[in-house]
Amino acid sequence: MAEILNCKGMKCPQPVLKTAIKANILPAGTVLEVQADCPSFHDDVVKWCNDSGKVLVSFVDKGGYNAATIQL
Amino acid sequence: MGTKISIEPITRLEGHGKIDLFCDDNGAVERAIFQVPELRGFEKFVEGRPAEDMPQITSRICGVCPTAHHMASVKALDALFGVEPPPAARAVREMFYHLFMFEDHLLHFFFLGGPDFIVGPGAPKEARNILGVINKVGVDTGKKVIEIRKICRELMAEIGGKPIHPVLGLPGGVAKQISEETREKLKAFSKNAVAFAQFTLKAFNDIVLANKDYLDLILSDVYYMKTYYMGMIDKANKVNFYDGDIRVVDPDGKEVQKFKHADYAKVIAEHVEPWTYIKFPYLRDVGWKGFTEGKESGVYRVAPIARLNVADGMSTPLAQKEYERLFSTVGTKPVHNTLAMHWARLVEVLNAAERITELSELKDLTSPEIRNMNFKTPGEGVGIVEAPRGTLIHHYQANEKGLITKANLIVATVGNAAAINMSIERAAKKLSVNKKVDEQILNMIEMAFRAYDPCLSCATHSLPGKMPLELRFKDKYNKILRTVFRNNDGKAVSG
Repeated sequence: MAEILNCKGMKCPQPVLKTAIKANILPAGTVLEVQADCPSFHDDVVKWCNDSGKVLVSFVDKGGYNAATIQL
Repeated sequence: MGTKISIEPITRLEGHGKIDLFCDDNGAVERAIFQVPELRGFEKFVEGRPAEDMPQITSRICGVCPTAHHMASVKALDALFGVEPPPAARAVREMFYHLFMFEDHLLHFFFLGGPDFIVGPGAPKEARNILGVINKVGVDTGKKVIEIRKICRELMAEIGGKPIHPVLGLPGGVAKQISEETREKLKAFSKNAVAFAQFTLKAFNDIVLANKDYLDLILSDVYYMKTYYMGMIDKANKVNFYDGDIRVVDPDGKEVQKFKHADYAKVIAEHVEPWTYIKFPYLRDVGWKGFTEGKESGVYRVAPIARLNVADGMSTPLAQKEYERLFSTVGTKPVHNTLAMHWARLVEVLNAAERITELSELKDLTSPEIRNMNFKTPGEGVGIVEAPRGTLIHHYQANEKGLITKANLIVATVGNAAAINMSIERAAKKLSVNKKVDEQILNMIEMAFRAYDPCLSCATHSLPGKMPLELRFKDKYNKILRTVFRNNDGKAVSG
């Protein structure tokens, strides 16, 4: 069961900052699903995973928002 | 019989201020205080806000220098989230910041402080404003001033999203890459900017320095004070507005401190007076000895002449020549002459224009690698830039959720607060003793603070030369003996 982080309604850079803050307090290996509707969220989360060494498992359009599944 | 004279509000500055002069039984000024009679409260109401909101919130402190707050705040967030911006982001930030320094300094010279010299301290006050300046230097030059600032602010909007309250900086980078098309615009602008800065320095030379009365005024002991100085320097000890260590020199010019941003609280302490909302920072090691000058007093000064005093030179060749000319003309280093701030400001205008040229040639400027997102757990961050008005410090603490738990801002004008008080007192004492207080003396007292380009809160601005101003002479029992005021026509009238 993935941890859920709801970032809907937040604008860049907030979704990735909230993701980073959450990631720093969860154990390594945890699966985190980040939900966001910011237009730049896809590019931002790809870049954040790349910079911080996390694995972006999937990025799915859920209709109205996107869900990024990340393994920490 | 003791009297008190109030100048409220003071004019041609950013924000609201008031000057009270306390006179002895013979009418000589014993004490002068420079008050900021309003509370902003930013440091308190940001508590509990997400740290990433700070660059947008704190830029609202000021409508004139939002870019300085935005940039100090973004740098504080870099430290708070433990991210170093990539070279391209740094180049974009520096470009944006030098555009800001260029246009902001010109605003002060032509619109706020310059009228005192270009039009003259004794000119009718309805002429001591930008229109009087245009009348003196010619309509074509006036158009050039407005045009160059307009283009500069349009470029700032292109890079930073808006000309004021920018949305450029993010922790670890910037929001937007600069395009090659914008680079070409910056290159074209920079040529004009350098030429305009040189033209302005020549105008200052011809109108001010070539006028013996003005030069004597700049060098007179009315506007002279020996203090410590503080400013940012690069690795070669040259003036830097965006990044570098902070250096402090004593009244003899000897380096006494050189510190990293995070260590500012080890060097600077703050004194509070009950009669104003402004704090009075001082050098912790020297201590607060009251509103006194000299090596024994911890009072320090920031802003253009302070930056030039602490540095070994300017980072660009044309500005370096002007730097050398300034110090050779005055004949001392440090320069303790407060009115030399105006000259130093123009040296910095030229430096900013030259840096825009250098940055416009930088390969990294248009690189898409503008963000580092390897954020650490939020903690504590200090961000410092050189605002036009001096060293600007933002210090934040956040909890593990990234919410602000404490904020401390030492705004540039605050750094000069004690010195402004002392400068006003000195000018008032020397100018008003046994003389009828007239329009010219009032203005010359105001010139003592105006040189610092103080930015008190930026809540509102008033049209220059039309401010209501009233001086009340009271006895020690607070009974009003005489009143001098400016009427609606702007004339000094005794009542």
